[in-house]
Amino acid sequence: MDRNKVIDMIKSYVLGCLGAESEASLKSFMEDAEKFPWKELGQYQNLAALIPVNLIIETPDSAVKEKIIKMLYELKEAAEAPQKISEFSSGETLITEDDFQLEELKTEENLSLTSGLNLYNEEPLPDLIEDTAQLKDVYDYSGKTGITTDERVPDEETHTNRTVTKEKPERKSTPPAEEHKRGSKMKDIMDREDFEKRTKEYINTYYQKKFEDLQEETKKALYIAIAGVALATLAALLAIVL
Amino acid sequence: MTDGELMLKVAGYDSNALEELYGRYSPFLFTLINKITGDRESAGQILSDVFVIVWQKIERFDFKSNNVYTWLVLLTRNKAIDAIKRRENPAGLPDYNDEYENAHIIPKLAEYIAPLELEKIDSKKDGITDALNKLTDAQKYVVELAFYNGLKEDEIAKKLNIPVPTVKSKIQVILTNLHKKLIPEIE
Repeated sequence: MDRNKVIDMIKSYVLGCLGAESEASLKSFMEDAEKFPWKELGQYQNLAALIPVNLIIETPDSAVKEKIIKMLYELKEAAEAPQKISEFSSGETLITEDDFQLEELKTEENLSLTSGLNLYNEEPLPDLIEDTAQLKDVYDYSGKTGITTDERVPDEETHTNRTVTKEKPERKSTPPAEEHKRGSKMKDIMDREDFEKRTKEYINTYYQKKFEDLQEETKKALYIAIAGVALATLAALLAIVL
Repeated sequence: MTDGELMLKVAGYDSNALEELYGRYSPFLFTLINKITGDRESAGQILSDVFVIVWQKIERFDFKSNNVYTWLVLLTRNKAIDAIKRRENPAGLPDYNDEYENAHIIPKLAEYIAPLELEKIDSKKDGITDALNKLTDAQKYVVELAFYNGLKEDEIAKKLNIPVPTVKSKIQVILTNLHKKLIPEIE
C-alpha cells in the first residue's frame, strides 16, 4: 500500500472515523511493522488526544471517586469469590472459601476506605506473623500450591493489610531499563503475580484467623489460671485464718 | 512524580498511585466524557469504568513509549463513544467483553510516539487552544462529528450531505494543519 495513502488513513483512524473495512486493512498493514509509518501514527495519535484541550474543565462529583472504590471492591470480591481458590497443578484442592471469614474482613476494609482510594491499607501488622517458625508454616503450607517459597515471598506487594509485610521491596525500585522491558511481558508476569498475591492473601487471612483464635484461647486459659490461683490463695488464707 | 512513574506504581497495585492519577486526570477526562455524553451522571459512571480499566488492564499500557496522556485520553474517548452507541442502539454493537474491550476500547499507541503528560499539555494549553480555535467552523464541526460523536466517514458524509471523499479531504486538511502547528509545540 502506498505510504501516503496509509498516512491519510491514519488521520481518519486517529479521529475514530475510519470505516470498518479501511480500519481492517490499516491494521493488517500494521502487521508489516517495518514499513508501517509508526512515527506518523504516533504523532497523529498525540494530535487527536489534544483535541479536548480547548474544552472548559468541569470537575466530577466526589461520589464518582467513591463509586470507583466500590467497583474495584466488587471486582476484588468477584476475583475472590470462586468456591475454591484453585485446584492447583497437583489436582489437590487446598483452600476453600469456607476456610475464611472474608465478609467480616471486607467490611472492616470498606470502613477504612470511605475517605479515599486506599483500597488496600498496606500498614504492616507486626503481630501477625512475626515468628519465623510461623512464617515457615505459612510457606510450607502455601508450598503445596506448587509455587515455591523462593518465587513467592520476596517480590510481592499485597492487596490487604493482612499479609506478611516483611521483605517487601517496592516495585519502584526496579531500574528504569528493567521497567521499560516490563511493558511487553507485563501481562504474563501480572497474571502469575495476581494469582500469587491472591493465594498469599488467602493464606495470610487464614493464619490471621488462626492467630486470633489462638489469642482468644490463650486469654481464656490465662483468666482461668488466674482465677484458680486466686481461689487457691483465698482458700489458703481462709484456712490460715480459721 | 511523573505520570509514567504513577502508572508503574499502579502496575504494582499501588492504590495510592491510582488515587493520585485520578486526582490529576479526572477533571480533564470527566470534561471529555461529559462533552461526548452530554450528561454528568453518565459521565461519572464512564469515568469510573475508565479507572477500573486502568486498574485492571494496566499491563496493556506500553511502558516503553510511556505516553500516559494520549493513552488515557484515547481510552476515555473510546469508552465514552462506545457507551453512547450502546445507549442509542444496544443491539448494534457486539457483546462487551474482555476481548472486545482489548480490541476496541483500549488504544494501541504507535511503537514510536513522543511521550506526553498532562502537566506538559497544561503548560502548552494556550498554544494548543489557539490552534484548535483557528479551525474553520466547518472543520470544527467535522471534528465534533468524528471525535466527539463517534461517526464514521460515511455517516459524516450522510449527515453533511456531502460525498465521502470530501469528508476524507476535510479530515486530511484539518489534521495536516494541526500537525504543522502543534507537533513542533509538543515534541
